[in-house]
Amino acid sequence: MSLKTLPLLFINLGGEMMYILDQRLRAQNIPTEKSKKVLNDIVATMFNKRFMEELFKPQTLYSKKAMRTVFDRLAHASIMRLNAASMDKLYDLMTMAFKYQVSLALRPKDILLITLNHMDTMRSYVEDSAGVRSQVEHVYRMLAETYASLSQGEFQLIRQTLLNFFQDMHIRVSIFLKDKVQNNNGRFVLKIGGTLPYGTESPGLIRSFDASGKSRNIAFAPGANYTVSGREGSFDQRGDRITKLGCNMYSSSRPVETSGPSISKSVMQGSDMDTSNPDPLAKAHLDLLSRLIGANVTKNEFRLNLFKDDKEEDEAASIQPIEVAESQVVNIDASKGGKTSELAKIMGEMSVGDKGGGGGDDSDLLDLMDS
Amino acid sequence: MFKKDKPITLKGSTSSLCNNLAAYVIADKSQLNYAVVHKSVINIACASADGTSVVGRQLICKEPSASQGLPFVIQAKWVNLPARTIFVLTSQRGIQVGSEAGAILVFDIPSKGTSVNLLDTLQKHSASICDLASEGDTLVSADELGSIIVWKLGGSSLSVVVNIRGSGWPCNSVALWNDVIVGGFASGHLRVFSATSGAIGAEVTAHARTINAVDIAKDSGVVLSVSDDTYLRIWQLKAMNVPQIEYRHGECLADLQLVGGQFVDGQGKALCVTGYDSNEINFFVNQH
Repeated sequence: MSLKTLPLLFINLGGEMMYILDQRLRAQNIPTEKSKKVLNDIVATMFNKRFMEELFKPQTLYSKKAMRTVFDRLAHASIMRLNAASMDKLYDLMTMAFKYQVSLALRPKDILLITLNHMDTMRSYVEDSAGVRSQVEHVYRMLAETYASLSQGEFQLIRQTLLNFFQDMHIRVSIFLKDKVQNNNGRFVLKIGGTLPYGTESPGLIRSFDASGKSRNIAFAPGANYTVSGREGSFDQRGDRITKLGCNMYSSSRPVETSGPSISKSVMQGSDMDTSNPDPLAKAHLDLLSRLIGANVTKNEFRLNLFKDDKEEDEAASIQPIEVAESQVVNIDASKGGKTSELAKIMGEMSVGDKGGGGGDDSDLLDLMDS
Repeated sequence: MFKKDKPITLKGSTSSLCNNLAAYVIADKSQLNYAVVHKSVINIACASADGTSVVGRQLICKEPSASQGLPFVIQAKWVNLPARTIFVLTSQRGIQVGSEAGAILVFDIPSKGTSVNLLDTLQKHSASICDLASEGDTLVSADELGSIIVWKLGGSSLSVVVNIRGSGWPCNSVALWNDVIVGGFASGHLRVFSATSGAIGAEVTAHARTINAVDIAKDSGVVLSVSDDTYLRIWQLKAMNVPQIEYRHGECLADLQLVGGQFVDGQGKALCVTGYDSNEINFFVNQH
């Protein structure tokens, strides 16, 4: 399993989270200034230089539980609050979206292009803030240094590592069901035919060589029509990524589905033993992250809802999925701190910030990050 | 032509790994065994030849110092040795027969007992080893840059006979039959080489995505290739001076990225395949 997978998993899940939050902030008519602050604060925390440096060190992936906790913290890095049901839904949407992108990537190296699509949109959220923008640009450079020169084989290993992280997750997502890219059993539709991976040839030809090396072509019917890919996506800081995977699929006309339980879980009772032990590295990163986020911001707080209204949110919260591996995940309202024992196990001695240090001023988060 | 047969349901789903299905037929006991990796667990199914009884069991790869969770299994395979058949696992932290550093480890397996010794380390590949295949005293190894090396056993040591340079796409799976090498590549190509000369006999644009496994039926030279493109394809080898290959048949398994495939019989009339995230072993049987 590749030890270079964690940054890609984190950045892409983070990107999907930002798409959903951005769309919900608009839909809930949150004032522009507040929305901007939320996006800005979260991107700033996510791409904090020290945190990124830790993340880019060769290491195994976090357990599913630890990854979920990291995003719980991250989602609460600003003045926005999510309750447990909304956080659950947010995380499910994020993970299924990235699982879809990794599953559909034409070739393993496209995962880097998918990452850059996420980076491009996140950069656009912080265009006005020079400080955060330079943080984002630094991550572009880290991505280029770490991944641009990797071989096909190394990317193949990264793709397998990601797919195995998402193994047994078959949550149905309404936007995918509507687009007919996901089946009712939660599996993605894999269309045959269409565009081929960059650098490969159309199936259907046997080149036969004789002893002198002369070749003769024999065709066979491959069963579908394929198109050769003409151009490779750009790995530069700005450029055409060619693939649309990893772009924002939500818009006002294609919103994050909020009515009813848009998500239904059918997670197989897997033997997910990677969750048995909290990994020390994930714990250390959580520690760092919570120090970065600092004290709870209490002023100007508002609550974001991933459901149509509070009633539906309450209903969703009361539905306990049956036989769901994820049900063991603790739902954390980070504003209350690490109260549950499960969470405490993961977070260890992590303190929820230096309580006296942070107020609600806009500048505080950035100040904390610089210190 | 090939007809879908009743699948076997495993206790867990199939991980995304190349060659993630091993089949082992014990003819005199009329028993068929299948092994598929699910993260750090190997799901094993033992079936009777007529398919009426299937017993599933799980093998969990554990380590005494389990501070970092369980190690992922990278490969599970039955290896037929003259004196006995052994089940070999390679994991993230454990025995690696072909290693990430490009070395091939040679072990001495006694005909009885568990005293397995590391005999030799062969360092000729410059990239990670993807797959190994053998026939008689010939060993074929394939790596992540698509290079293939043919080794011959002389006395107790292996020496290089042929070195076939790759194109940069991994050779995920390699099979050997009557001195013919078939390699399945991540670019979707199948390539056929002579193991003696290294000469290429055929290059096939076989699949639209990475090929994850190839197998050859040992009595007939029928080839199976499976791919992320949801297709399994059947081919026929011709062991001539320069080996040739012909296309026979293709089957699409809807929405399933195929990661493992093996023939069940020597003639190549029955085969089984696995796909990522599915807990079924799918069977196909040739009707005539």
